[in-house]
Amino acid sequence: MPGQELPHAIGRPGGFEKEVASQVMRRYRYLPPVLVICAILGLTIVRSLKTRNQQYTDSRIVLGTLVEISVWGTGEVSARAAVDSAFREIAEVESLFGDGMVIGLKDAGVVASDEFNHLMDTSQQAYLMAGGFFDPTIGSVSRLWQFGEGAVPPPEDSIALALSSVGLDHYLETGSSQHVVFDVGGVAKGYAVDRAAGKLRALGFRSAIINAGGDLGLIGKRVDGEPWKIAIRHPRQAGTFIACLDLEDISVATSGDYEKFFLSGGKRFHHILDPHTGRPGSRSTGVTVVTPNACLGDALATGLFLLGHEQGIPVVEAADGIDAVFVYSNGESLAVSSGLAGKFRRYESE
Amino acid sequence: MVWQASSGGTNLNRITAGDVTLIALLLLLGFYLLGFGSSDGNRGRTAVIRNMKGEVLTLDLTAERRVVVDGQTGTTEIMIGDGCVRFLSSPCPHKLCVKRGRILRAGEWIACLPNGVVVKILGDAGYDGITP
Repeated sequence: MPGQELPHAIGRPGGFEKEVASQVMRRYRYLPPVLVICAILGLTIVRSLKTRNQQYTDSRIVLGTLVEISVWGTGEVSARAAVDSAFREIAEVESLFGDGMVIGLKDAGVVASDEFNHLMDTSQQAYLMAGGFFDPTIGSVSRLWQFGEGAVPPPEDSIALALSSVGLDHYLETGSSQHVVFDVGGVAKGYAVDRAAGKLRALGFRSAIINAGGDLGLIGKRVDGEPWKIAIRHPRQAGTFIACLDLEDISVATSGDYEKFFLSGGKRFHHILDPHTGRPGSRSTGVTVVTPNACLGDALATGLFLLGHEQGIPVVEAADGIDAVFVYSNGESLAVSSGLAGKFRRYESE
Repeated sequence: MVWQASSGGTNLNRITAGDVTLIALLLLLGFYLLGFGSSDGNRGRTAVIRNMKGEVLTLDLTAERRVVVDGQTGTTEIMIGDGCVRFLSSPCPHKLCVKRGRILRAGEWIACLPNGVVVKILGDAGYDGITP
């Protein structure tokens, strides 16, 4: 019985209340230090989790497109500094090649640069893999095609003349860039993504995305531990997607005939030009390439688009670390390489 | 709650299930007050329009309106409404921005690069990036 356990309180005014208060204080004497420790631990955990989930994004118009860089896992000041340094890498690529990416004879300094040689090495790899359908010496033909209002296809004789200076084989054999007009637009964006991603990785980021007009550099995975979810735009239905990929620490590049085009005589003329004919290719409507090397992926997306899925899928299956999604010329059917099994799903439109 | 005042020290020093519950509740309250329990709630469909001067305009996609944005070379006309955005006109040679048609999904964007005007749709997209 409580009364029997409190003999000293009996007979003294207020004694019982004092004794109870004293007992309570003794009972919970550990509470203040426990709460302080819990508060410190809690604050540390919350701060750490909040920083880990904190996203910083900056977007700028560079390389003739909108480039967006997002990083997670650090405070705003260090994130801003890191993203700035990544953008500086991209700006260096632009300062070298410009945003037009077509390089003529006057640009001898550029042609002699290490960066240009790197692009040519990667281009050669893509050229060989895609059976000559990716060729960076197509610049003379690229210049002929304009995509402004009221645009029309260039005359056949102009295309034929321009094609006479196209041929990576000839350039590599002779080493002469005379009469050659390079179009590095098919690789420079990917190269810039590689440079920016390399910078962020060197700074220790384990969760970041660089999106250069659809050429994506994916660093690590999402902060929740899930793979990045990348949507592939539908070539023929504006505002919808045709597929979604779950990817980690890799790059993604897409070439689609819906990016830049004009309609003439009821026909679509787009910007992905076949180096053999000097005219837009028609074997695909979109090709997405997944590879650790964004520069190579950028080039292959163009080459495989022109090659088409029938010849393209065997090429991809034979290569290490390269996967692809082909959208057929009908704009609906898909061919997907085996390496994307479990990572690919057809997008269910709403 | 009934307080059993007792001089028996061993019982008083023992941490009971009630104590653990109390600490847990206090911790949960702390986490909530620190904002850990709140979410971004970024599900609203909004469009962000930006020009090269760094001017930013955030607009609700459900309210229909025509927006005129000053760019580097002239004005770009943008139509917003019914959950979509599209460029009506822009002083660029290729009109790629106008040809792009409407966009409606979070993460999608249209840019008139010559005029330096960019529109992006914000919201909970369910994906992290779009290619191209």
